[in-house]
Amino acid sequence: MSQKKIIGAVEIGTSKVVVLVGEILGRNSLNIIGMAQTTSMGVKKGEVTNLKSASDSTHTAIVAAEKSAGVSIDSIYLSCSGRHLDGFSTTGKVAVSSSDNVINRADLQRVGEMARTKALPLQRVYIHHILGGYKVDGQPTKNPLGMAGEQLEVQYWNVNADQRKISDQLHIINGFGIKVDDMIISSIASGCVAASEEERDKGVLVIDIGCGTTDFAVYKDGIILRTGVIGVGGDHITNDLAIGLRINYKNAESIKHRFGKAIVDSSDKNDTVLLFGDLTIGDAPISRSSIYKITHARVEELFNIIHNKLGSLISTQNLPGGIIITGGSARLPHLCEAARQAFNVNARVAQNPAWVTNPELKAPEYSTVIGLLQYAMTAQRPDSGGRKKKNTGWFGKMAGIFAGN
Amino acid sequence: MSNRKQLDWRDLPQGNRKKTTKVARRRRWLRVCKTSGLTLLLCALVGGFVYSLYFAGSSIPQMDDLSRHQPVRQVTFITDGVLDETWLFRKIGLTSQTDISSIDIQAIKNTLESVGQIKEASVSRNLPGELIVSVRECSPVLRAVTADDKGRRIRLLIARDGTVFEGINYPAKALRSLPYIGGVRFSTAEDGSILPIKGMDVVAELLETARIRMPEIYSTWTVVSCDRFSGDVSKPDALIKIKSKLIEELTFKPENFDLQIERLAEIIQFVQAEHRTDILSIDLSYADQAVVSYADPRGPRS
Repeated sequence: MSQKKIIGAVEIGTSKVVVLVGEILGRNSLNIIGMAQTTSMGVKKGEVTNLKSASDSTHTAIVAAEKSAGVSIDSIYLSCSGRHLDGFSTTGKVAVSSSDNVINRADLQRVGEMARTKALPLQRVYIHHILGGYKVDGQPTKNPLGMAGEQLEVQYWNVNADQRKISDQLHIINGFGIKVDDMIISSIASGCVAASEEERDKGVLVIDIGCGTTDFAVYKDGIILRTGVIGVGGDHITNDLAIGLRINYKNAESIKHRFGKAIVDSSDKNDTVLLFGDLTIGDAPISRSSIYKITHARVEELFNIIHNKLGSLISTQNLPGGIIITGGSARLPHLCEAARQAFNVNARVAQNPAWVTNPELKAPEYSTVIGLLQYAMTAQRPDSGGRKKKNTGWFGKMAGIFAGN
Repeated sequence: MSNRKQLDWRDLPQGNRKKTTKVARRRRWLRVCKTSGLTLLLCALVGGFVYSLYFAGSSIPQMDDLSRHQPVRQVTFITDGVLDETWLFRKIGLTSQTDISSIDIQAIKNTLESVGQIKEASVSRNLPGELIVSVRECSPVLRAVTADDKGRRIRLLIARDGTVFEGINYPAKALRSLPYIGGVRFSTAEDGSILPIKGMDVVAELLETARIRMPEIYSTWTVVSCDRFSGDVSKPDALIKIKSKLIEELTFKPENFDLQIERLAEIIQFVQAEHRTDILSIDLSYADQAVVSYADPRGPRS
C-alpha cells in the first residue's frame, strides 16, 4: 500500500516567499496540489534580518498554500541561501582493512567519517556533505565497493552556514508548529530541476539569480563539485538603475522589467523610453542606452565574480553542458548572451520539468521550490552521514550525492 | 579552527513555538478544535458501540438464536378488565412448547378482537422467548337476557358504546348490580354477531349520574326500558323508563340528567317526610315539574 505524505516546500527569498504543497504517494509519484506566495519582509540578501516580519510573511504564505491545497502540511523542506553559506573541500584517506585488499562497506564508512569530521569554527554548522568521488590507489572511481586496492580516498564538498542564521530560519518554520524535515541550499535545489542528468554528467554550471543573492553549483560526472552564494542579485541591477537614472526604486524596478537588457543592444540604443509611459506629471524620457549600460554592467560584474570564484572550473572542457541560468532574474532579456560573453561557454535559461503542468510554475523563479519538492520525494529524511534506504535510478543518484556512501 | 565536535544543522533545537505569529496561532487553534471534535465524535461512536454491546445487547437477538427453536418462556398479559391468562391460553391455544417464531401474532390479534368483550388487542414478541398480549376490554353498564334459535337463555352484557357481548370472568356480584335492559330488539350482523345498540352512551350517563348522586335509589333499579328511546335524543317523545324495587316506574327525558336526578332526590325526600310509601310512578320528563302518581291519591299515610 502506498503511503501518502503532504510535503511543503518553502523558499524564503529576498523578494518573495514561495510555498508549494506536494502530495507524495509512495516513492515515485509527486503531485503539486497547492501553491502560494507572499511578498517577503524582514529578509535581506537571503538572510533573515527581522524574525517577526519574516515569520509573518512566511506563515501567511504557508496558510494560503494549505488553503489552496485543502490539506495540512505534514513536514517542510526548506531552502537555504545567503552570503553566510560557505563551502570547503575535505579529503579522507584510509588503508583498506581486509587482508585480501577488497574494499568493503566498513572501509567506505571509515573513509567517509574521516572526510566529514572536520571541526568547524564556532557558530558554524554543516548543511551538506556532498560526495565528490572516490579514488582507489589514486585512480578515480564512482563506486569502489568490492574493488581491490590498498588505499581508499574520498573527497567531500562540505557546505556550512552561520548557526544563528540557520536557527532563525528554523524558528520561522517551528513557530508555525511544523518541524523542518530537511534543509537544502538553493543552488542544489534549483540544480535538481534546471539541469538534466546528461548535462550534470557532462559538466554544467547552474546559476540561480535571485533578487538578493545569486547561488551557483558546478556539476561534473553527475556530482556536485562546487557550490557558492554571491550577495548580488536582481535588486542590485534595480538599485543601480535607480541611482544611475535618478529615479526611485519602484520605478527602477518597473524600468528593469519593461526595458532592461543584459547586453548593450545597438539596434535601439539611441531610442528613449518614458518612465511611466502615460505622460503624467513626472513622466520623463530615458535613454535606452543608459538602461542597457547599467544593466549590462551589473550583469557582467555578477558573472565576473562567479568566474573569479570558480576559476579554472569555467571552461569549455569542464562545462560541455554549458551554463544554465535560473531564478527570477533569468527573465532578463539577452542574459544568456551576456553569460556567453563573460564565460565563453554556451548558456541557456532553465526550463522546469515537463511534469510541472501549472503554467505559472514553468517560470524559472520557481526552480528552487520545485527542486525542493523533487528532493523531498527522493529523500524523505537523509542524515548527514547517509540515507536510511538505498536509492536507485536518477533520484537515487541525486540522493547519493549527499549520502556519501 | 577550534577542536570542538562538528555540528550539523539537524543538531540545532527545533520545536520552539514561542516566536509564533497570529496566523500560526489561529491555525493551531483550528487544528486543536478539529482534532478535539474528531476525538469526541470517535469517543461517541465507540461509546455507542460499547453501550449497544453491553447494555442493549441482551435485547438484540443473535441470528443463530432466531434460527433455533425457541419455546414461549413467558406470556405477559396486560388488561384493563377481568380477563386472565388462563382464559387467554384457552382462547389462543398456546402451550409451553409453542415455538415463538412460529406464532402468527396477527392471527392472535384477530382472534382476540373477535371476542365482543375485547375492544382492542395488541400482540408482540420480545425475543428470545416472551409473548406480550395487551387488551382493552368493554365495561358493561347493563345486562340482558335473550334466547338463541334453540330457545336457550343467553345472558348478555351491554357496554357503554352499545356493544353487546357475553361477559367472561365477571364476578356474579358485580353483574347482579347491573340493571337489565328492556324494550330493545337485538339485530344480528351477517356473521351472526349482535349489532351494537344505539343510545347506550346516553343511558350509561343516566345510570352513572344516579349511581353517584343517589346510590341507595340506584341500587333498587332493576330494568331500564328503552321502549320509547331509539337512541335519538332529538325526538320529542324520547323517554327512558326505569323499573325499580321501590317505585314501579321512573320516567326520564334523555337530557339534563343532573337536573332530573336532583328533582327526583327532592321528591323522594319530600315523600319520605310525608311518610308515604305508595308511589307508583314519577315522571321527570317535564321541563320544570314532575308528575308523581300514588296508589291511593288520598290514601292513608304511614
